[in-house]
This record gives sequence, C-alpha cells and structure tokens, in this order.
Amino acid sequence: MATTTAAITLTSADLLTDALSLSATNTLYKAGSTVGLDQTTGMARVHLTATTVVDIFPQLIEASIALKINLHGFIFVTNQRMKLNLLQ
Amino acid sequence: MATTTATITLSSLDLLSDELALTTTSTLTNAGGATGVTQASGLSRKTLTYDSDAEIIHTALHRAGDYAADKANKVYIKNTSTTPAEFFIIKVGDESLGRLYAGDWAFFPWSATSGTKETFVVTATGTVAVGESWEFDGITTVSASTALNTFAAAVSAQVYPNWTTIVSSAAVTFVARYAASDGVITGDTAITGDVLVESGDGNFTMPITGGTAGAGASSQSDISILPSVRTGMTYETMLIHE
Repeated sequence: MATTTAAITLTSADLLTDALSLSATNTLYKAGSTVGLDQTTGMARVHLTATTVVDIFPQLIEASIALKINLHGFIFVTNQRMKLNLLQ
Repeated sequence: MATTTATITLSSLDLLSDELALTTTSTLTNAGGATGVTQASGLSRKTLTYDSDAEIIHTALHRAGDYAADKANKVYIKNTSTTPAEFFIIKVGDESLGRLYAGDWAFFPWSATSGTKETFVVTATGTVAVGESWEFDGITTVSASTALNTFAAAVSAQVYPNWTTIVSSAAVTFVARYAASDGVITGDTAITGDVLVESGDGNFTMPITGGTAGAGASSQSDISILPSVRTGMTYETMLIHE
C-alpha cells in the first residue's frame, strides 16, 4: 500500500497581531478507508497562451461520475510552476 | 504590508517507482499585485450535531456577499474527524468540490461572486393610530403615536432576522442580509409575508415602492459544507482575503 502525505503550512508574522502558524498533514487514503491512494496522473506542466477555458484534468472529467459516487481524489494546482493531480 | 506564506508538500516513497517530493510555496498577495493580503477570518472550529439524519443541512462557512468579488481570496477547510468513513461535502454555490474525509484538508482560491440582495421600500401612508401595527419577518411593530415618521422610525429600529433597514421620513428601506431570491417582492404594491393591523378606518397602509427591480438573486459561490453523519463532526476553517 502506498503512503502519500500532503502537508500545508500557513505562516505570517504580521497578518495578525499575533503570529499565524498553521500546519496540517494528512495521509491520502481511498474514500472512507485507511488504504492509501495508489494511482496518480503524474505531474504536468503546461504553458497557456490564451485566456480561453482549458480542461486541465480530462481524466477527472471522464471519471467524474465514478468520483461523485464514492471515490476519493485530490487535485493540486499551482500557477506558473507545476501541475499535478492525484486520483484514485 | 503583511507577508503571509502558504506551503504545500506532497510526498511519497512508494506511490511511484521513484520518490514523490513536491513542495510549492507562495506568498499570498492581493489580486494582480505584489501587496500582501491584509485580512483574515481567523481559524475557527465548529462541531455540527443534529438530532436526526433528516435534519442534516448544508452549513454556510463563508458567504460571498460579505467579501469583495474576484479577489485573491484563499479558503482553508479541514475535517478533524478521525473516523475514516466520515466526510464533509464541500460546495461552492451549487457545485460540489468533493469530499473531505477524516483528516483531509483543502486550500483553494475563492472568487466570492455574490448574488443580489433583495430590497424594497415600505412607506407608512395615510393616518396611523396608536395600537395599529405592521408585522414582517416575524417582528411586529405597534404604533405608539399618530405620527407616520415616528412609526416608520419604530419599524426601522427593530432587529429583523433576515433584513437590515434604513429609515428616511416615513419610508423604510429593507435590504436582505444575504443575497437570495427571497420572493418577498411580488409587485409594486404588495409584499409577501407582512401583516398590517389597522383600526378599521382603512386610512393606514404600508405600500412598497421599488417593485420587482429590487428582487434578489442567490449567490452562486457561497461556501458550505454537509457532514456525512449527524453525531458530531468538527471542521476548521480560515479565510484569508482582501
């Protein structure tokens, strides 16, 4: 079983009057279980030159019916740097 | 200028044949600029419990009407449950983003595109007598004088669950607290849900003006969550916004 971990930290020394230091870490499991996700599309990098709508996750769209039923997927997107989506 | 940093790390030694070690960091800035975001809701935590499954409803976390639209807002939501089968359904407007299972968190941008708050004007008209009253939104105002402006002021001074008010002379402007098609306005001379009690001489009325032009429209981007069980699920959320 694969073990995949996602972590986020939000930090700021001056957004509030006190320091903001939020951290959360989670292992990515299949829906309703403790079995790790075992599939991923891998990371893609795309340079867009138009402002038209682009489907960046055709795999997810094709699988959307199944995902809506009871599967568990995660999407990770960053602007200008890299793109990755993980799905069951 | 505040400097707020978000870092996301995805890591796995065995999901792929090679190691996955992805880290990305971003300083949260206002839309289209380099100025750091300056406002935050604070991290909040709430447990949702219901008496029966039938009572489980979507709970609004962040209402679009409370924030500027099309800004670089960011939303953090976490399901603190430790029971693997328990999840929250996260929705933006009517669109489901997906399920947050036990321990899962989400961090995503939010345009906060609001709908339209319904609004209308009610004007105390004719001759008001002491004891005559007007009821709306579950709130009844009884006139203590024969002055229309005084009665209008009394109507406006009430605290309505779903509306805010502004008074000007004998006219009271009602504005819905939240963007929605409340269906209160039915035309230029009538509203749904008000009750006028007058003494019988027929001189006292509370007609509306503004008409259907003030009709509301639901927000399509309020953020809400729906727990999978009624027995107490806890979420945490934080909104960082402009």
